[in-house]
Amino acid sequence: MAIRWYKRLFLKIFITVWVTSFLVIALTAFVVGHLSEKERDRDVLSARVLGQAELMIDRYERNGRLPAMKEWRRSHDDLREKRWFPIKVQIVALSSGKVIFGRENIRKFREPLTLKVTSDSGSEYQVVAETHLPPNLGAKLFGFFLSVQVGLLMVVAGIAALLISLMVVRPVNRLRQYTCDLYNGDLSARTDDSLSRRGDEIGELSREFNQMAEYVEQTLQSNTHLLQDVSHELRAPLARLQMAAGLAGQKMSDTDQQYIERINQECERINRLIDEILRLSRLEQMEVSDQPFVLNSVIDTLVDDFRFSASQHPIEWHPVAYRIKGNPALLERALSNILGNAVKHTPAGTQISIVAELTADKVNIRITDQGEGLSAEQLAKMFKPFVRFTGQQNGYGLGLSIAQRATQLLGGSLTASSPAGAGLELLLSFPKA
Amino acid sequence: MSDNVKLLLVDDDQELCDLMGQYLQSEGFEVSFAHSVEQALPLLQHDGQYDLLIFDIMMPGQTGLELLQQVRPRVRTPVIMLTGRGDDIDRIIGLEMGADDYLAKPCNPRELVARIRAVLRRSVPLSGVEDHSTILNLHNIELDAGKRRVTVAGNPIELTSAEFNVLAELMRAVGSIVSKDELTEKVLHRKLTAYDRAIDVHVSRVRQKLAAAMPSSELIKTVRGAGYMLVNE
Repeated sequence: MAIRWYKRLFLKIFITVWVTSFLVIALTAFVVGHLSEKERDRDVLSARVLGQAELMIDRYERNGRLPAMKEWRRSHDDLREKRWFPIKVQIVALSSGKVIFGRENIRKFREPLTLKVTSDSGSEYQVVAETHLPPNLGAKLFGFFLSVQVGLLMVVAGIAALLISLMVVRPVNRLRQYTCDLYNGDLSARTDDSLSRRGDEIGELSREFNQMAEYVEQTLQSNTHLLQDVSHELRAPLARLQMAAGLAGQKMSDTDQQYIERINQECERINRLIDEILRLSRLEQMEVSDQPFVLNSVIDTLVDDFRFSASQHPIEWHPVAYRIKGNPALLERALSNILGNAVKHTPAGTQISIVAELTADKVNIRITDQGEGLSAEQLAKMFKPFVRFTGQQNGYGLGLSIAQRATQLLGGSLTASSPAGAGLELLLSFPKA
Repeated sequence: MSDNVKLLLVDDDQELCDLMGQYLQSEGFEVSFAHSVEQALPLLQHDGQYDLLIFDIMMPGQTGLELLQQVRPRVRTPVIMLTGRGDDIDRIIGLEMGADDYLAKPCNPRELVARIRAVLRRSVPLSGVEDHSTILNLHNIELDAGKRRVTVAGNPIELTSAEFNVLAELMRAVGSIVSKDELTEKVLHRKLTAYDRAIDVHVSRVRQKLAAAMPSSELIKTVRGAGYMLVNE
């Protein structure tokens, strides 16, 4: 079954890893960048405060009066970056304890910076300035995300995500391939060493797959062998039974021959049942092949056979040279059972048509009869073994199970539909070779 | 047909052999048995001891196919193979190895007798009556119906009786299609049945033998859905 593209494990892992790793790296880079920028700002600020304070102190000592706050401000009008100009400053002469500049309560200063300044005259002053800068995070973030480094980050995170997804998804996909092989009838499918020797969970899963495949193979094989042995063992007594019936027949009068006939008929029925069971079990043992073959190589002969053995049904078939892969005997088995079924369950004289069509990636074979068709309920269980519908005395309900299994072993699918007013339509769909 | 037709039945199932022997005896045949290939081989030292051989394919140890391989072409006695039902491959291999016909086992004994009679009928050299006595000449092939001998450009080639009859029928009808029905009836003396590949195998054997004797010519053509045809000169 195809997975929808957006549901693929690869995409999920890729996107998750990509987005999270990008976000983590970007945030870290942003926070670290922000902190170091703040540190740098503080350094710049303290240098300026120092220079400005020295200027103020110099004036104070020369003029003997306190400089007005507005002067502090004015002297900075020419400063290009006003935002680095600390508003709140207090200068205290340490010798006298007198506040010579700034009246604000320094306790309210946010992130205060305290400096000691010694003037030319040798007096010491303490300068306290507020270094808190108005936050401007939004603009900064915006600028950051538009920068080149973010582009680089995305690429790097993308590569990392790609590598991680491939590391997980590729072995999983290989494992899936082995699972498909097993399902498609290659019972000897085991994962290769590079998968099963891995030390991680995928290696563990591969080894567990191998154990499971081993178990499936052994179980199926022993079942098949048992079935074959039983069927084979049933045939020997059956052969004797028929021979004994023949002997009895030789000694009986002509009027009693009907009983012998009856015994032979019943033997023949048991024989056919054994045949069908053996066919079903042999399907599993048929050689798996990936060689392409041409459809008409199989269907032509089959149609010839049916035109001969079921001449009461016209069979429509236009030979085509489409190719599919696998063992042709499987297609022959599937189609012969489907045709046999159609012949058996539709009135004489009605046509059976076989149409092959080629789509982009599939080869479809449609077999349509003109019988009464089946109800939805019947359609649902018609492929189950030993299912028979009322009015069917002949056969054992194995024919279509065999057809379906044979189709699956060819990597295809067999579905049935019964459009109102039309007969039964069986659709075999195979991957194009 | 002689009243004293001698059959050799090779089958590992002794009880079945016993019953089959009784049945065939009361149908007028003289039946000998062997229950394994090892037992059968000494009985087949000399050609012509039996009129017909019946080999079961499924036997423990060596199979009927291996027995057939060991006695052909030294022993020319006609052979009927008893195959497992549904073993199409066994049937075809049997015919390709020189068996004259096959029958799926278990089978109705009357069917077995019918097959035995059909095979015996066609293996008895045809007496020189009507057109059967003619010597047919075509494409360098000379077919002597009386002596049942075929030569290609003067060199004799070995054909089984079924193969000989196939070639004879096709040569008589040269240039026209012989249907599989007709060929089966004339060559195998029985009706064509569904999934019956016996005649196709015989035709393909004749083809191979002719091709070996004179390469680069395809004399026998398959006409899809109709039958076979030997092309005109």
